[in-house]
Amino acid sequence: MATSRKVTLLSSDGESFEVEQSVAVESITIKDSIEEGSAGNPIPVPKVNSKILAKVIEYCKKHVESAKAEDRVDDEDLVAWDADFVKVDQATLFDLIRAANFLNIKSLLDLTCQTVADMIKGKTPEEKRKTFTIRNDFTPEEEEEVRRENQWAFE
Amino acid sequence: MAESMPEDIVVDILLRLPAKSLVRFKCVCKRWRSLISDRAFAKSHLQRLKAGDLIPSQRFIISGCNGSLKTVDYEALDDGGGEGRMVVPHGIKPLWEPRIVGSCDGLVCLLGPSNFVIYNPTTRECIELPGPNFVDRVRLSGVSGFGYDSQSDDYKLVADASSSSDGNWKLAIFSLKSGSWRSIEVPFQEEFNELTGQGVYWKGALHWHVYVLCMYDKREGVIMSFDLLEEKFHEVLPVPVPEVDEDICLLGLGIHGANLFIYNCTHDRRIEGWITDEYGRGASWTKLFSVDCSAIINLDRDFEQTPLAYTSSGKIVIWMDTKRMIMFNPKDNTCKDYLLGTDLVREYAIYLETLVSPYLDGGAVE
Repeated sequence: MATSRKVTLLSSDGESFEVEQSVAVESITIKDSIEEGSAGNPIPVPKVNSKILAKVIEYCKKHVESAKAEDRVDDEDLVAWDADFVKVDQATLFDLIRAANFLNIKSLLDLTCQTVADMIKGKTPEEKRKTFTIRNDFTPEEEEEVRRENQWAFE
Repeated sequence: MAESMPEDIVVDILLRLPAKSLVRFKCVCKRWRSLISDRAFAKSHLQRLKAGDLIPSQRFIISGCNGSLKTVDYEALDDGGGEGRMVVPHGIKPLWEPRIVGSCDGLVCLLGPSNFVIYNPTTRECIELPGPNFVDRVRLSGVSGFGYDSQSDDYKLVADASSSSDGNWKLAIFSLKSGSWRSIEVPFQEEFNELTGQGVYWKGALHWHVYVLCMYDKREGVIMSFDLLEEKFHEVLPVPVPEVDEDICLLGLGIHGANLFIYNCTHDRRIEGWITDEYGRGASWTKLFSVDCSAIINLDRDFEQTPLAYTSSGKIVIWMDTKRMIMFNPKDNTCKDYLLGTDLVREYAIYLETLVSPYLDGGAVE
């Protein structure tokens, strides 16, 4: 039975998290730095604060566990767990996206991006601007023209 | 907050949205407008669509005798009550009785009185094609089809250009990429006598159902294909055997998601639908449905009642006549009527909602 190696991750706001190496390497970024031998101990995770890092670790733990469980966790159960996992406020969701992107955790990035896509699917352009805090850089005339060109899509 | 979201993540999220939503989101800001209008983006979007379940993006387009073109969102008809969303496209010159030649990757090919048109019903982009100059008009009663050749990354339109004078079979092929026509001679095969109408585009080829003579003078149903890469005909697939050994009075091909779909109706009013996703003579068919429609089908009518689609809730969309469609629920034998409007509907095609533009390189076809 392999001894489980542990690593320590340090969030951007200075909190330490001790995790199994198998969980930490769900992040390709961390995996690469461990393999290259360039990871310090603890491994610093800049740009990701403790609140978000805790959530990311929770996600990775769950996915690693369900992959190696003796009686495999039902795919449906994992999907349901994932659905609950992303029931967070928008700011947290966006932070999770940034963290998943920086840490290179594909399945988490997929999950969070899909969640945002599903959220905005039915929204109006105005609502979308709010969601992404995008500045509307069309002049009123330009906006009118774009709307008219695509009028039928709003019906 | 979100301004600091990396561009490739924004693109990743946008690529997951349905084409219809993306058309609306061109209004959000200039960056998104140029992103969504970009050809490479449309291509990535199509690839993602094909990697997943195509059925939610599938629609019908129907053409009426007075030139009307409408999109039927049959899944929306299924979920929401009422008339659902029947949209009349505008911005396209009214064509008298537009013939629907075929559809592929969200582009629909139509034939008007004087020339062909390639149209994307989702983005409303439309181009008129020049006519072939080596033949006065293509034979409207002959074969036709529209599809994609992956090797040359080109969309091709195929039309029957045979003249009755010589016995050879000539096909006119238009390449969207080069914007020009050429013709090819096809060595005649006996099965060609039966080949007619719109070929269904699937996996790089156009498909028709024909009967061929095999041993002991028996007739066997097969599916013939015209491969768009090789530009040759092949006999490709056997036809599934119906559940009940009754005379088949109607048979046809269609598309269900990423599968080829074949339906047959027997004299005792049983309709069966089958799908396959494999190619070649070893292909196996899966039965999608087999239902007794005697409650709703009246075989004395001239019009052939055609099952067009199978919804995610297990209902069958049947085209009843030039004025209406019904949604038949085999679980409780009920059906819902949907009127298609006053313009008598003659033709239909299944298409996908995509952002693919008929202007392949961003320029108009000369």
